[in-house]
Amino acid sequence: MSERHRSRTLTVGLVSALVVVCTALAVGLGAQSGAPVANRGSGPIEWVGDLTPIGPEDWSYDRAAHLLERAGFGGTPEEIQRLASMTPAEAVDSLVDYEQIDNSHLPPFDESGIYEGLPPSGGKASAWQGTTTVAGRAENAEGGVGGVPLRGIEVYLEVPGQGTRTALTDDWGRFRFESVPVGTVTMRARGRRPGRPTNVSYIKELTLTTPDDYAYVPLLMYPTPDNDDGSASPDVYGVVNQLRSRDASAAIQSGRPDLLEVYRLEQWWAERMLTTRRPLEEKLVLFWHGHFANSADKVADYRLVIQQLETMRAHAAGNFAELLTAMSKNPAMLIYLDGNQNVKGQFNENFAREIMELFSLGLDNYTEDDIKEAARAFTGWTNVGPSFLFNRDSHDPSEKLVFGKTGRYDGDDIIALILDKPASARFIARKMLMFFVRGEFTPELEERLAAVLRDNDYELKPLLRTLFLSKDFYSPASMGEMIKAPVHFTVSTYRKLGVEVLPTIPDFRVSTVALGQELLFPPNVSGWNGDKDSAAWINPGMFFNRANFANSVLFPEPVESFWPPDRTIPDRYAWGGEFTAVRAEYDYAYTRVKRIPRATAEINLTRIVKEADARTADAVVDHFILRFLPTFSPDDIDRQRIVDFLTSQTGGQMIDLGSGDTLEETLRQVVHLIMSMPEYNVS
Amino acid sequence: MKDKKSYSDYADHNHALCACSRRSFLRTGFCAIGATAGVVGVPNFFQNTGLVLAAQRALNSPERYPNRKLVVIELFGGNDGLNTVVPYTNDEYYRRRRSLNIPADKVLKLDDEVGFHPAFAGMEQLYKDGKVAIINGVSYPDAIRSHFKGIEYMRSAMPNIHLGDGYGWLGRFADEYQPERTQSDFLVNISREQNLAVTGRIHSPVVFYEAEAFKRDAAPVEEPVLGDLMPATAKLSKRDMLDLVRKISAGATDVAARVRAAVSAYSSGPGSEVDYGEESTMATTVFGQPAATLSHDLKKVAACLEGDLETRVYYVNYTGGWDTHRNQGSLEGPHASLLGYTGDAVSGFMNDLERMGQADDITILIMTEFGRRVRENGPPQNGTDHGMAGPWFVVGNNVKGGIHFDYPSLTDLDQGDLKMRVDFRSVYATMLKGWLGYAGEMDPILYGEYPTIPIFA
Repeated sequence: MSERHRSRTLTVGLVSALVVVCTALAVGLGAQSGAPVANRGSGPIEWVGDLTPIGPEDWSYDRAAHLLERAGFGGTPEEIQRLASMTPAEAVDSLVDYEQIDNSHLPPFDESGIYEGLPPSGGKASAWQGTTTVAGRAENAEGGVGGVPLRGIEVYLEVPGQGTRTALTDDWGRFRFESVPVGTVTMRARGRRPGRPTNVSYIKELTLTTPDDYAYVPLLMYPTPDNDDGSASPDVYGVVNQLRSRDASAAIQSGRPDLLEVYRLEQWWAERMLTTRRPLEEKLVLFWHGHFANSADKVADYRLVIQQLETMRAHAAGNFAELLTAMSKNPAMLIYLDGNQNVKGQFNENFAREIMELFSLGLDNYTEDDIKEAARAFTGWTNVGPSFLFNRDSHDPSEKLVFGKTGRYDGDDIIALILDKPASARFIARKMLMFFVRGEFTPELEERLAAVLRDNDYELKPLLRTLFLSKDFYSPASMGEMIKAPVHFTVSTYRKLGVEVLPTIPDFRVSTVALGQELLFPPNVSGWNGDKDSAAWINPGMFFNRANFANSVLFPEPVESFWPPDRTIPDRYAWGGEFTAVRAEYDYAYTRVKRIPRATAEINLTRIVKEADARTADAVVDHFILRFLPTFSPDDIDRQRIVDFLTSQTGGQMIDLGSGDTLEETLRQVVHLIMSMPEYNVS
Repeated sequence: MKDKKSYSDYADHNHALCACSRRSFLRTGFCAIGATAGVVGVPNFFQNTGLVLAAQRALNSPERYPNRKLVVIELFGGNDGLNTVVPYTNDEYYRRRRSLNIPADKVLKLDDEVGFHPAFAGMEQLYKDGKVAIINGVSYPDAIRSHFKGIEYMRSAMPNIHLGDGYGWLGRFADEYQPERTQSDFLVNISREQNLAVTGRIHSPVVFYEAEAFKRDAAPVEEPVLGDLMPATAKLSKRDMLDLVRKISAGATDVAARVRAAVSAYSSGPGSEVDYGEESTMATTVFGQPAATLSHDLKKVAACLEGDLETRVYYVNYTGGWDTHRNQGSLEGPHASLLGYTGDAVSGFMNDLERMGQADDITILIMTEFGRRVRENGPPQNGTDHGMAGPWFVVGNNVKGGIHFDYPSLTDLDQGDLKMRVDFRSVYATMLKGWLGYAGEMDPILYGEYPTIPIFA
C-alpha cells in the first residue's frame, strides 16, 4: 500500500505538467514540447479495418486511456499516464500478460457459511452447542409496518449467567440479538413510543436448543385508549409471542439465504474489478460471463457460482478450446442448461443446442439433427455437487451422426468436432469485436481475426494482442464508439474518482440493476444484448439513471438513513399472503447471511485539485475533463459552460482551496455536471 | 397452435449478428444490406432498403386511425374472475364457493347467466351503456400458475418460453409500427419499474411514477447548467455513439419536461374535479412505498392525454392485493374493495375522457395473469388459489359491448381450474389490428397469427 502510494506521488508532477499541456492545447498554442503528446484523438479513417500495430509515434494519453477503458475499467490520470509513458506494445503486453502481476491483495470471498452445520439432506440438526440469533419485529394490527413509527421499542433478553441484553427496534420494528447461547433464555419487551409513557411489558421464556431454532417474535401493537388526549390510538405497543422454530434445511431450501449470499458475491466481484491490478483479467471474466451466460437464479448455489467464476478466470486469456471444455463440464453450466438431466433414453437438447448456437458456432453452422445427435453424445455428463461426473450408465454409447461424420462420440468428441469447424473461431472473434471494439465491422475483419485464433490453436492472447494493438482499435470507427455497459460505467466511475474501496452506499447491485445489468444474473443464456450492440444499454430512462447514479455517489445518502437492500424484502412481495410467507424466509436468511457493511465513497476532490495544482477555474475544469473524459479534448465539449458555473460559484477564476474543504461541494457539482453529459456515457 | 419452442429460438443472437445496429438505423433511417443480413428471424425492416421500408411503413400505417390510443390496465396478482363476472344461475358455483359466493340476489345482473360483483358498479353502468366487452375464459395452452411466470408470459406474449425474446408485446408492436422511432413518447408506462410489456428493441417507454421525480437528481444551482449542456435539440458531432446519446438526451429531457408539465397542468386544471372514486385505502405501505392506486395512475394517463404527448400506448400496473389466497371476502372485503376501486376509477377515467373530448379515441384493456381456482379455501382461510382462465375487459365508446365466448364450464375443469375459451394473444391481436389499425404482419409481434375478436365496429 505504501509503495503504491509513493508511486502515485511521483507521477503527480507528470500529471500536472500534462494539465498544462492540455490547457495549452485548448488555447491553441500547440504542444511540441516533448512526449507523450497529450491528445491525438482517433487515428485517420484509413485505420479502419487495419490490423497492423500502431507505433510509438502514434501513442498518446487519450489512446492509452481508450486502451485502459476497453481492456479494463478505466483509471486515474496517473494510471493512464503510466500506460502512455510506455510504447503501445509494452502497454498492451502489460495488460495482456497479467499472470505475473501480483494480485494477492485481493481477498477471497468471505463466505457467510450458510450451508455450514446443516444436515446433509433434510432432517433436523440436534444436540447443538453454540450460539444462535434471536430476531423479531414489531407489527401493527394489520400485520404490516406502515403508518406507525416502530423505532425504539426496547426488547430485553436475559441470558442465564450473562445478565440482560437490550436491543432497540429499528424504523421497521425489527430487533435482533446476535450470538445468543443456545439454552433457555428469557425475553421481555417493553413497548414505548418516543415521548410516550412506558406501556405494556411482556415476558416470554424461549428455549433455544439448536442454532436452527429460530425465534420469530413479532411484537403486536393494539389500540388502547390512553393517548395523550384520551382518544384511542394504535400507538401503544403490546407484545405477543409467536415463537416459531424452523427446520433450517427447509429454510435453506427456500433459496433466500443463497440469494442474499449471491448479492454479497456480486459486491465482492465488483470490488475485484475496482481493485485488481490485472484489469484485463477481470474484464475478460465479465466478457465470458456474458458469453457463457448462466444465471445464479437457476444455479441456486453460490458456491457453484464462485466455482464457475474461477473456471472462467483460470482460462480467461488462455486457450478457448480448454475454456469451452471446462465450461461444458462446469457444474453450474450442467445445472443451468439441464446437462445433468440429459440421460440415455430421455435426451435433453438444451446444452447441445446452446453450445453450438451461443457458445461456439453460431446459427446456420449446424442442423437440428446435429443438435439431437450431439445431445445423445453428451449423455452421462452430470455433476455431484461441485464435481463433474461422467456417468457411464446413463451415457448413450451408440453411433451418432454429427456434422456429417459418424462415430461413437461422447461429449469431448463433440467439442473437438465443433472446434474443428472454422465457424467457431469466427464466432469468438465476432463476439470479442462486439464486446471490446465496436458493434459494426466487416466480415473481412472478423475473418482475419478468426484466422489469428485458428493459427494459434485457439490461444486467446495473440488475438487480444492483435485487437488492442491494431490501428483499427484506435480508428475513428472504434474510439469513443461504444456505450459504457452499466457495470463498467459504475466501476470505472469509482476508478476515475480514485476510490480504492468499493462504496456500499449507493448499493452496487441496486445501482447496476437500475442501469439494466446485474452481475451473475444475465437475462437469458444469450447474455446481455448490450454486450453485442452497446447501443442497447441506453434509453431515456437509463440516461437519467446514469447521471443519478453519479449523483448518488457524489452526494450519497448518509449511513444513518440508508436502508440496506440486503436487509430489505423486495417490493414485489408487497401484496397479500405472499409477503407473510417470504417475510419469515427472509428473516431467517438474515440470521444466516453476513450483512454488507455500509459506507459511502471516500472522495476528496479538493485533494485531487490540489495535487493537480489547478489554481484557476479553467485549470480545474481541464483537469476534470482529463480525468473523467480522458478521450475528449477540452475543446470537444462545452467546457466554457462548466467553467462559467464554477466561477459563478467561486466568485472568480482564481481557485483558493484554502485549508479546509469549503469548495468540495462545488467541485462535486462540477464533476456531477460532467458525469451527466452524454460524453460521459461513451468510451 | 404452434409447437412450443425452446426459448433459445428467441435468443437475441439474430439481432446481434445483424450487421446493422439500432444506432445506424436511427442515424440513417435505413440499413444497407450487410453481409449477415438475411439471417432468419431478422425483422423485415432490417432486410429492406429505405424505399421498401417506406412502402412497408405505409402499409403498416398508424395513420389509418391516427388518433386512437390504447390504455392497458394490468391487475397483477390474479383477479378472481368467478367473483367478478359471477355465474349466478350456476349451482356448481354455489357448491364450490360455499362461503365466498356472491348471492344471486346481490349480483348486478348482465343477462340470464352472469352478473357483476355488486362492488363493480362503475363497470355495470359502462356495460349498460354498451361500452364494455367481457371476454370470457382468457388463458393460453398449458397455463402456468406462478405469478411471476404468469405475468411475464402475459407481458412477453410468449407463454412457457422462459424470458421470451427479452421484449414485450407492446414493445415489439412499437418497433414494427414505427421502426424509425420518430417519436420518443410512443409508449408510456406509469410505473416505478419499466414493464416488460412495453420494452422494445428500438422503442423504449417513457417510464415514470411520480412525474415530478422523472428527472435528473441535481442541486438547484446545477439545473440551468444541465439544461444548457443538454439542449432539447441535439448538437451533433462526428461521433455516432455520442450523437445517439445526445439525441436520447435531448428526447429524454424534452419528454420528461412535457410529462411534468402535463401532470402539473392537469392537477391544477379542470381534470382535478372529475370523480375517480375512492382512493385505495388498503394499499399497504411496505417499506415506505405505497402500493399502486388505480385512480391516481389513471389520472396521470388523463394528464398525458390532455397534455402535450402523442403517446399511442399507456401501460398501467395495478398491484395491491389481487392475490387473495386468504381473507378474500365476498360481498365485502378486500376483493370487493379492489373491484370497487377498479370500476370507479375506470368509470371516472371515461368521464374524464368525455370532458376532454377524447372518449372516442381511447380503448382500455383490463387484464390479469390468471383467474383463480373454482374451489375456495374455506374457513379459516377464506380465499382462493391461483387458477387458469378468467375474464378480461375491453372498455371504450367504440367497443361492441356484450359478452364474448361462453362462460367456461365449472364442471369440466383442468386440475380444478377453468379451461381456456380464448388465447390471450387473440385479445392482443384484436387490440393491435382491430383498435389501433395495425395492418402489418402479426408474427414479429406475437410469434404467430391469432384470430381477432369482433369487438370493434
